[in-house]
Amino acid sequence: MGSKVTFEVFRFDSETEESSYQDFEMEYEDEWVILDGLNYIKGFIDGSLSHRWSCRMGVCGSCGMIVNGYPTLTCSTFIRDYLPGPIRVEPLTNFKVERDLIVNLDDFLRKLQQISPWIVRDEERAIEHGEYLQTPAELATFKQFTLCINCMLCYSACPVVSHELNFIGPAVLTLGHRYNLDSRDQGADMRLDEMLSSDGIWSCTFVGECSQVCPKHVDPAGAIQQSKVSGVMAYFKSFVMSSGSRE
Amino acid sequence: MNIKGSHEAFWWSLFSVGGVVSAMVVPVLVFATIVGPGLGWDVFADAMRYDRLSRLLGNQLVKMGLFVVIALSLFHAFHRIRHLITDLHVPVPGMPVAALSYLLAIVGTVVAAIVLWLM
Repeated sequence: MGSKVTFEVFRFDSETEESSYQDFEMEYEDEWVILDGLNYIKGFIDGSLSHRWSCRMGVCGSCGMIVNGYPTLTCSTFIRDYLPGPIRVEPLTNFKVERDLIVNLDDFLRKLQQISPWIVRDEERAIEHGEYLQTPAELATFKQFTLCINCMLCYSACPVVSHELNFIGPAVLTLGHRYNLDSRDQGADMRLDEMLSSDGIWSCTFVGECSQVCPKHVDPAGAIQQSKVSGVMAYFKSFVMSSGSRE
Repeated sequence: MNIKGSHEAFWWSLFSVGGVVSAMVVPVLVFATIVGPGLGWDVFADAMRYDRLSRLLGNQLVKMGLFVVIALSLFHAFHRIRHLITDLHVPVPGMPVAALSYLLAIVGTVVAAIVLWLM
């Protein structure tokens, strides 16, 4: 312990619907991340502060918040990078706030299920047939998109999400693309129905902020652009197929 | 799969191809017709003489090429403007903006076709 820093933390009470910013001054260690500061506040200054976190190592994606106006994974961002402060900590934008720094995930989870983010097979093979084999080259086509930790920073950064509430959004569209690219998967047609709908990839205006804020370098903007190319192919192919079926 | 209901793929394909054309061809044309002659480089200034340019534009293939560049660039630009209006959170309904954007691109394309035809 040594130097002092002030956190300006967003507080919200859903019962009274009142919100405010509360200042917390504390001594911190040089190796502390923002999440350590929040845990210190909750543990030693004000136990009523509510925030979501779990792994503290950039894997679970629970502790995404807005730090000094920027979507940030608080367990991966050092206090020393924001000195001399004050450091403003707010809940993720574009989500309904439940309490203090905790946002409601229902809408995101609904969109996540909508895209069927799992391997879909026309017919499941019996276990005796063993695993579905895949070459390293086939894995390489989508591996980058498997690194998403659902931290939702991209939803907070996306200008389209902020005003088109039904937009499926960067992380979920990227996950859909990830499974469409997977050689073991056979559910691309089903997924594309959702991804090519009016709430899907065409709403993306390719601002690219999602890729800027992504802590795992997944590049959702790139995934969506690749999906758009697939969408164009599917669109023109649908005309060829339907004109062929009339004959 | 029913994807014909949304024709966004069609407009995006024009935007996409238009983007490639705008990025690859338009800078070369601007340099050859404006910057080069403006710098006084003989090779460009000479090529921009009226009689030479007139003969060049009389070629049907050149006309066709120019038409493709102009039309695709227009669709690229108006698609981008349409989405820029969204990004800037301008409070206007999306559908009329999209319709107006593509209508302007179509009008520009038709005008380009007529002008090139009459050359």
